Amino acid sequence: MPNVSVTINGVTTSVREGVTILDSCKTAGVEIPTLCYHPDLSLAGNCRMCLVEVEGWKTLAIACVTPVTPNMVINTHSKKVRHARRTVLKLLLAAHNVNCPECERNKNCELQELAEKHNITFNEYQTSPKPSSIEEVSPGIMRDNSRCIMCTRCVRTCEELQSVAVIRPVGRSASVNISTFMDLGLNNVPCTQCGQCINRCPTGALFETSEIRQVWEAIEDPEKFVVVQTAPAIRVGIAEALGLPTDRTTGKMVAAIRGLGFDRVLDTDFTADLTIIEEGHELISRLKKVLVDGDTDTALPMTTSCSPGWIKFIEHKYPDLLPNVSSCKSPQQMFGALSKTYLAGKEGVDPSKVICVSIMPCTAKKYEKERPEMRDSGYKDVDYVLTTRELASMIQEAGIDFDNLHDEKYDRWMGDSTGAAVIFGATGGVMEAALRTAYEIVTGQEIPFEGLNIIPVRGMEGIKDAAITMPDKMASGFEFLAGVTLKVAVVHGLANTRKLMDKVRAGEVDYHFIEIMACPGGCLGGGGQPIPTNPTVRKKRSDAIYEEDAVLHFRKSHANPEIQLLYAEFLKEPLGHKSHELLHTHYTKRD
Amino acid sequence: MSRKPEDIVSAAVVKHGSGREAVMGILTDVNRELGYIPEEAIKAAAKAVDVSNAEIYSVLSFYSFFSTEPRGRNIVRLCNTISCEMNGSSDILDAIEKELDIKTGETTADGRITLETTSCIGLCDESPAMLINDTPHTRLTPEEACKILAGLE
Ligand code: SF4
Ligand code: SF4
Ligand code: SF4
Ligand code: FES
Repeated sequence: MPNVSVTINGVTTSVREGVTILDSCKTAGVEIPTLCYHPDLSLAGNCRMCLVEVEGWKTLAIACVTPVTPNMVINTHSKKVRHARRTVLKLLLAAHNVNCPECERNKNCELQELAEKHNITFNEYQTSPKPSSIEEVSPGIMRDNSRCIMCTRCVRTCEELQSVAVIRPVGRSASVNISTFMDLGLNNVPCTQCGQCINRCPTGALFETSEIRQVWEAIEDPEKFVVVQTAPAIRVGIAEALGLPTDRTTGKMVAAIRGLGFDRVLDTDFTADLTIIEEGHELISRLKKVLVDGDTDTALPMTTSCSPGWIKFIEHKYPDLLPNVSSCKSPQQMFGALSKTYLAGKEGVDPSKVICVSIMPCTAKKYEKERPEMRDSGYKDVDYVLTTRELASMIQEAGIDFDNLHDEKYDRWMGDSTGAAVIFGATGGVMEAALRTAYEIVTGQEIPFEGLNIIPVRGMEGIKDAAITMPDKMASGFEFLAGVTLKVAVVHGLANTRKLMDKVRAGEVDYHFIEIMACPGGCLGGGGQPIPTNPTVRKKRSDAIYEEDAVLHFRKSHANPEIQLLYAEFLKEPLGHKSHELLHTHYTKRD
Repeated sequence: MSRKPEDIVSAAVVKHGSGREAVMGILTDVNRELGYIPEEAIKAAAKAVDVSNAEIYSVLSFYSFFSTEPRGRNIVRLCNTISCEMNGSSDILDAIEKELDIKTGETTADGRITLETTSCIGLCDESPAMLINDTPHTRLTPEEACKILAGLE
């Protein structure tokens, strides 16, 4: 596209023809307020917040959807523009349940911020305040439409990024609402509970189903032994959630959580390593069944199972492919099951007194822990799930000065972690971790990538793939894999997943192993992570994750000393009897 | 004996196709035959057009002529937009509600009449107006409206 010359607020610049007025202003360093616009989504142009004046035009232009034309003269804050924007804001606020102190998004709300920036201190359109109404409750997601501004960012998220499309505007005119099929609620439609809609909502209309109160109560109950596990992506999200720059802050996070009063601070990374061992062996065993035994009942490609949003998605949309999903529970649920068996034994506490809390970047984890099959320890394996945002809120409530904390270490037995586990938080990480371990099991040698960094599976491309050819000399027992080219794929975001699974279903691809994460970017972009999310934010979190991997002493899951102890003392062997009882699960076809 | 909702949808797909643009045609056929659009029809239409149930529900929820609830044998739609309103449509509504002993949106116990209001039906010059099924009735008075309703089967 050629460049064209445009004049923005009297300054003439050159921009690419065809870009929107909004983008050209951004390039020129001129800020235009937006609400329905989101960099991850298609353009909707429905909120009218971004109006600007174009010389020679009778009406104001919608900056987010109007392409620039040669010699366009744009004014972004003329009297007419400011008046129009203030009117738009006032009308939105007049139809809104303005109750900021009691709102989940207080101080992190785009509507509130714009009202402040435009100095809306009096609203002549405000007639009667709209009452709060929690319209929807599900294990992971709540909706209060009294705070909805109908920008449809959630609708576009669910359809375009997740290809789930369970929410839509319903009704007409003043009575239109975002709702579900027959207004059944998210819990009764094929919602994956991924929470991506929450992360892209500009207001407090969508938020997680909170368990902060229950967690405080457990901590304050002297009878209870409250253990907490932290998912890989929390350590690169928590600082951001507290309003600090994105950084990996594992040590401070451990200190802060300990400061809240938990009895033990442990790491989901530990069970991420465990997942790698179990899943790696499962993959090798499936390969053997197919390649050596000629077993036609064993399904390949095998897909990962750690993303509960993905699991719910496949249960609804591709139930015929459920045999392809690894039987491994997610690291969260493996941790839960072990916390009430192995850990309780090690600590000498009565398992009925153990309360397992997890800090997750994810709202689907709240749903996962409620699954009836997740009680193999004899108790509910995981009792409560807090998102990164909820943890930040507890840290703030406790008055902990996060930035000035000294680094602390995890407690023992289930606190050791490796670089392989940390990268679970980024798309491609599980694959990389699995390859580091599986390759070594079957060949007896380290995977031949410089610094163990398997670059082809990293990065933010929607679908990535790689092929690794096994050497001729294999470890004993794995000779059947000599010279075999292992084909793997990595996918994140459910719309990308759907594209790939359609090919799997049609038999158009011959992968052996696929990593699937429901959320764009993987867990670092999860529905429980700090808001906002956009490509820049996700890139920063991803960089932080790979930095953490690079500095950790152990980089391969099977090198984790506590994992070795767990197998020696408790599980005995991968895919063994105890593993099957506690660490593996099954899936259910859903309508 | 009316056809099953799924069968009406299948027949409509043959007629209108299975592209997104066929949705209105499919829904109209179902609504015309059954008087409403049941859940099974929405699901069947979504499947045929390959969109989510929510999308079909969203579309039909926009149109007041579509309903997801069973309705009476006759559907009375009184215009509630400003021209009709200025010429007395609310008095007519009151009279009809009283006569039929139902509120707007309800159906008489014998299933004879469903009463609804509608946005402008383009008959402002002959207001107040109402539609009974597909037939317009104009320049109404409360008495006349009730008389017309009494004649419905
Ligand atoms: S959504 Fe925003 S403006 Fe509305 S109550 Fe919440 S913080 Fe305030
Ligand atoms: S949680 Fe995910 S699947 Fe459910 S409505 Fe939101 S975006 Fe859609
Ligand atoms: S719920 Fe949030 S994202 Fe969805 S339309 Fe309302 S304000 Fe927009
Ligand atoms: S941001 Fe442009 S119309 Fe909403």
